[in-house]
Amino acid sequence: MAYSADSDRLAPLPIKLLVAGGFGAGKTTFVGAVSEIEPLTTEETITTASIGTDDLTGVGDKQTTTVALDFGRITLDERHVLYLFGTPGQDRFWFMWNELAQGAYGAVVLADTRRLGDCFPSLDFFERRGTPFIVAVNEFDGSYDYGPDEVREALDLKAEVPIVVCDARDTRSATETLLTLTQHLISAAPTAVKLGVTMTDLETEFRLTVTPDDPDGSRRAARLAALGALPEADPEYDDIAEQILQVTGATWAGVNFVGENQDQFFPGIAGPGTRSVDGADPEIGREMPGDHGYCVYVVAREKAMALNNVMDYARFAGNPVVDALGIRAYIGAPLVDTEGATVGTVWAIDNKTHHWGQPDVDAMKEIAATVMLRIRQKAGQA
Amino acid sequence: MADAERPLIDEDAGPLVRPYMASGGRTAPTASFDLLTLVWSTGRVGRLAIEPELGEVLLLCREPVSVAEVAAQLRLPAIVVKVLLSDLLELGAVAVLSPDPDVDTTDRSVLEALLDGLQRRL
Repeated sequence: MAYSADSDRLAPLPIKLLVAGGFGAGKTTFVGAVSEIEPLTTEETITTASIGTDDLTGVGDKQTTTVALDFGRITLDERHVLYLFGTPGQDRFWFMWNELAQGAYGAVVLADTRRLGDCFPSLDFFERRGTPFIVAVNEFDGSYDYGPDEVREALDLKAEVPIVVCDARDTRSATETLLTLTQHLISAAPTAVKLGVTMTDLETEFRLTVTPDDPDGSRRAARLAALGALPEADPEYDDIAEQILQVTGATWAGVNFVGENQDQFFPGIAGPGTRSVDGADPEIGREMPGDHGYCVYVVAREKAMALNNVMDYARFAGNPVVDALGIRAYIGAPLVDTEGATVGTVWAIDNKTHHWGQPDVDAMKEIAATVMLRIRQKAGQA
Repeated sequence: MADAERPLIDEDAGPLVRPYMASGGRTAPTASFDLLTLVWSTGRVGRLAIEPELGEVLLLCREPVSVAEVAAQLRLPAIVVKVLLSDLLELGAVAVLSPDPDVDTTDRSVLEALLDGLQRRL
């Protein structure tokens, strides 16, 4: 349960979505159209003296302001209730947005084509905070003069941000807008989720150890030895690493044999600083301890893993490679031999966040299968 | 000419009854509440045994209800409601459940419940 309870009673999980946009863009109307209760307005009385704090001291001063928050409710099922909050439109209530955005799953930014610029502050806020959002062009009578592409260009929106046209007065239209947002949230969720791993799973599985438990270490080492897969550079695997870079657009890539004690060796590697220049050792070598990087997790889980931003995961943000190499994104697939032992990985990393998609994951799995076949062929076992 | 029956005030004068009158002059809640904190009556304290303002809040809490909703129903600023609720909490009259601020907002099972629930409304 995501709620911290002081009672055993099972309360529904609240899902918070925000409805933002400029003053008069239709937030109140939108919330009212979808809410199952009468649209309500909560007032937050605030003063300049108590901005951002739960305190009434100073109420009655000239600086006292009342912020009206529209909100609505939709009961989704017995366990989930959706709460919609209309964010206060005026600039002077910015500080309230932080409280509202805390724990929000996503946002609809309503745009009025007559005043497109009014939604810039909302877009900026959500972009900076990393809150996923969609833009809904509210179709006022006779106001819709622009196509979605023109709106996208005018607002300088990234290609992945959906734009829909809606009628905020219409329950069906507003509900469809929320559905579009939800679909966007599902597709924007970390790729690890797509692979059947939630952040919670990862945290639980690996909570107690810096590196994951590794009961199969000796079996893995035995398989590597039996396959003649030695910790030696192999130009063929270097070529495969180059191929991974081309497919994924990542900065570095490699083939990884993970030894008995989770020590890692890269028979193939590619990317800046991985090649010997004038006989000197390359800046990035072929060996790495087990507590560095994310491949050991792929080996332990025996499943592919994609991390768009390692900083999103408490477990992974503290990894030594984050500071040492500036790593921000990772994708890896396990090398699984015919006997079911996982002997290593193929991997790619980036020094900036990277939005991996399902095609990247599929490509990595395919390359892993190719590498595994080559390992067995070299060992005369294929 | 101003209507002699009506006091000569405008918005700059602030509310006629200060919001904190309802909270007995106190200005800060003793417990922490979010707008989405759920509250519900424990049934351990009768509505008539407590002050009317508190009784009104309690009346709205027969089923789990959010702080935002209580505030809207009572037409009181949320901060005032938070003060009243912390009184009720101390009396053992209500139980509360605050949302986890670090909730995983990319949890697929929750997002799918959202998707299903919205689709059913079309």
